[in-house]
Amino acid sequence: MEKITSETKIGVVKDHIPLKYNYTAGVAGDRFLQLLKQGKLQASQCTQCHKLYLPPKIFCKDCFSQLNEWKDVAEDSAYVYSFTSVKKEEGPRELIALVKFDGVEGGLLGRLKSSREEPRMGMKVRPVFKQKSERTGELSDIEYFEKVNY
Amino acid sequence: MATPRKVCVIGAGLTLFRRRMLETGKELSFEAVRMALDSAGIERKDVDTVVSGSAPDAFDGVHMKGEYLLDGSGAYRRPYSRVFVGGATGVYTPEAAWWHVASGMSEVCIAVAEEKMSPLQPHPAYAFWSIFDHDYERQLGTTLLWIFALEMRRYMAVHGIKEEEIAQVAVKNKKNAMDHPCAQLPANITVEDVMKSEPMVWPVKRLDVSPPSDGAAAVILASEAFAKKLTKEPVYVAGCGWNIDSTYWTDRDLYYPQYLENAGKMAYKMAGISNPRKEIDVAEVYDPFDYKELHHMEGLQLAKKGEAPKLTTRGITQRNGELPINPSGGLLGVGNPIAAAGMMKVCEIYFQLTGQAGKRQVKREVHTGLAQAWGDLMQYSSVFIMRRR
Repeated sequence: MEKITSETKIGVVKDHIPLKYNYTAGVAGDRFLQLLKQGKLQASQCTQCHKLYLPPKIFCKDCFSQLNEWKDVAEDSAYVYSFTSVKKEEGPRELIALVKFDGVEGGLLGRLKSSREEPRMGMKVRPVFKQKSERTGELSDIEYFEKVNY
Repeated sequence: MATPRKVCVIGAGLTLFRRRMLETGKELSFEAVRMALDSAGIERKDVDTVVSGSAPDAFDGVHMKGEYLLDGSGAYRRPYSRVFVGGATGVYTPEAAWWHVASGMSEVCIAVAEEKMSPLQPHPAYAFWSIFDHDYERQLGTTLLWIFALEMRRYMAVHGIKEEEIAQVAVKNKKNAMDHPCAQLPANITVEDVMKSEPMVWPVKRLDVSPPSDGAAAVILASEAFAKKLTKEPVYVAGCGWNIDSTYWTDRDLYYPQYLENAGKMAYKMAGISNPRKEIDVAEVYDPFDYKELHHMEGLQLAKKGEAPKLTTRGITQRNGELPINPSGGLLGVGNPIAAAGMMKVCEIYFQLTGQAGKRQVKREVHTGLAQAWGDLMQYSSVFIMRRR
């Protein structure tokens, strides 16, 4: 324990481990993202315990039944559950929010469109999709969430 | 169910925690285990099983870390396994060792936890990019700090907690660490210093966060019969608990760690504890961020929901307080080599129970102590309770 090592005198062996991955979005994820490309937001539903899952899953983590039912998520059900402000190495400071939807288990992490008004917890928002021609079937097809006044 | 055998902790050891050590992971493991064997007064020949704990392979950069570490862990030609439950690994490792001895399969088992975070360039935090969901989270460039900021914000909003109240934890723990010979970031700072420190991901500031480190720590567990050959008053393992929440962290409410309440109840039941607030004399709860100490005190039922900041303000969690929390200096002060940091907490409770904590010894008499760690995607908790007769 007393053997203090000098951090400045440590020699190093440099290496680089090149690894690349092609992930699948899965059965539920693939369908969800294809729907998103069409501008639709759907959740999968557990017919046993009536939970709606977003992002959708093919199983209920609680009762463990298979989920085959899908339902539209009401656009006016979205609200900011928590938010933060982040600064990446490049680019301006951004607002990031965990957006939840009334009556839905789960939520989506996304950018929050900044406005002069400070965001607040519980603020109603709606997803804004990219132009149809620019969508790629990825979560980024939702460009950002913006505040709405219902 | 058969009643498990009584299990004792007979020795503990740990290395310095530093940003970057010359020692490899194997060498760090060796130093910690050697010290633990010396502290118990036994040799490797007396040991019949070994459990190693280490967090993501990406830190060390060796993708079979269990095997890589075995020689330094004392496991050569022994029944050996590596366990991994993210940041909760350090407190889970002695639990896996407990199974070995409690089941009667082993008389003496080494539990050693290692983390060498410094190899990964340009910063250890880069390893965490690959833990997020590839379809829903990575595209945004999500980092651990983001989701902790969302959780901290939620905890503050639900209970109306101020950043200054949370900052008191960093002040206390960094000060406690000034008496820890292994500490990486001991400091005498004020709440104002924390508030003025560099904003990282609002509301998380530089001094709210523990530093990445290299280090290792170990304890040795043995049957009661073996322990009684070494000492008349052994330290017993009184309770073990572990529990996990959904990987879909967006499903959770974030303000309260229910999975920790479950893990705590499992350990309290085994230890016969009905009122943790009264029956736990000292606790080392996981504090990679200052708000996590408060969050975890509440999950462990050591404070009511939203009450932990008030107990901190009243000085109750200081070393000379009624319920000392993190007398070691915690991760905020001693450092955060992930798995080793959890094991450091187990070592500290052992030192407190055996009166070996020196200047860190808490004022009140200690019979029962608790160590807790937390990890994976803010979803896992492990709880280890020790007691002397």
